[in-house]
Amino acid sequence: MSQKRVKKPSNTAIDYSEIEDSVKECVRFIVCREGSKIPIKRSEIIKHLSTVCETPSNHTNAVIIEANKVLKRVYGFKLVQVKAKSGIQYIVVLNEECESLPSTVSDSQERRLLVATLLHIFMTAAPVKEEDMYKFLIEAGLLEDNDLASRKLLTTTFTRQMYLQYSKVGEGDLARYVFQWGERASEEVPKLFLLNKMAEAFEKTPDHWYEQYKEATEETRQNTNTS
Amino acid sequence: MSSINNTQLSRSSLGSHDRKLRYRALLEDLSVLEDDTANNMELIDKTAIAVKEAKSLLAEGGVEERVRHPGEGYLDSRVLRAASDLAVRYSEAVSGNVHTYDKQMLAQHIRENPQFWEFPFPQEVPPIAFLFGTFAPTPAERRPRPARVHVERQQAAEQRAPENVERLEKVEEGSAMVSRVLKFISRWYKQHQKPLSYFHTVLDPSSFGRTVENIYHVSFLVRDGSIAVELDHVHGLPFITPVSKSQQEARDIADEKQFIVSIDMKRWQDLITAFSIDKPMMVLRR
Repeated sequence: MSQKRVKKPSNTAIDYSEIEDSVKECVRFIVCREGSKIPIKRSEIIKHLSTVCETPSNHTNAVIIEANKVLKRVYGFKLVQVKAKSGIQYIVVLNEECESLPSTVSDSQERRLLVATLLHIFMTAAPVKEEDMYKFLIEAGLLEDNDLASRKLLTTTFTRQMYLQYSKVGEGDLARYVFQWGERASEEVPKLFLLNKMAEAFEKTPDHWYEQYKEATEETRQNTNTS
Repeated sequence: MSSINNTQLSRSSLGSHDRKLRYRALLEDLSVLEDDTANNMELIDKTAIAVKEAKSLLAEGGVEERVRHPGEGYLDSRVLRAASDLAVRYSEAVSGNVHTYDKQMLAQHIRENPQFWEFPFPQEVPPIAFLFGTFAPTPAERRPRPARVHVERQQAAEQRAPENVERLEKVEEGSAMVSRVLKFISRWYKQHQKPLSYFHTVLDPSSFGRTVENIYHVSFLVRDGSIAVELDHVHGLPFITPVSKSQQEARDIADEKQFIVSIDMKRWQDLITAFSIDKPMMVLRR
């Protein structure tokens, strides 16, 4: 599909020198904008490029493709297109797994909350009901009984960053809100990595959790196949 | 499974024979499921469908039918038996797989070793921070505008037209002075029965400003026609005469000439010495 696109005359006709400035600006925009982890809307990129470089909108595809190449070569980043109701969005993740240094800017309490949430969902191997999640987090000492701000982190911040997916299931009286892994989590966190952490913590082998191990190795296998 | 089509057909009531056939088909399906290695969840779903089907078959027949054909009841129980065997197997598989995760233990571990559970994700882009904390990487959040404070304006008083325009004009300071000048001139004219010398009237040796004011007031009177300024034939100097009401009415503008009076400090002093004026002739209450 994507190969067909490249063969289209409209794309091959664009000379790289013509869009070079736009590509640079696009890379700069993405690097600056990524810090918040809120997905970057394609429309935002188009708007930025058209105001700063006056890039015509029919060049956008070519510019983003080239910018992705630069991001990969220089920073080791990768643009991932995610589906959203409000048009095409992108998130930025590392192209390859890498042991990053712990961040000095992000809040450590927040990070523990996120790790515990993702871990619990993964280990449960099913969507986790909102109340069950809070119960677990309180038990883990990460959440106070009446800490609405932290609950909001889960339902709003992490959800917007696409680490979590917070959705309603069922109708009427049976309606429940559940947490699942969001797309960013699936891209950034290999399941086997989490399972190895579990194994390390409880001094077991990863295949002690048979079902999760199966899922994690399946994911790893698929990734090596595609890349 | 072709059961759905069958159900619809048999709604139009077919005999016990058909029902038996379909029970057998269900049994066959279930025995196939036993060897199936597909996903646990899928198998459970399939079994549930089979049980539902059996239930609807049973309802179709009714009690009397069942008494007449005991073979049906036998087959029904076999289907249920097979289904429940499968259910036991599935639930064993489920509990064997998932129950190794003990969330209480994990929660306890997290509580006791919070540091262990704090790490960057392998494919996470390290967050970029700006040295001076400028450039928020996201578009600034929209702050709600503070609600406009409603200023209670003082109600404008009802507009009123001036009651009497004429009287209002008289209140003006300038016109009050003008009428005083007129009064002075007419009184003086009545007492002496001769025109007043223009320069003696307006010049005030103690104040140049007063002099200018006097000239100004007199010129208004001339414009209104209350007084006339005429050149004396003998001296060639201007003299003031009051003009009576009747004369004013008969006034003919075509006969009149206009002139501009100008005065400066030097001329004022020259005139005072020329006419040897030592005190003002016209002293008005101000």
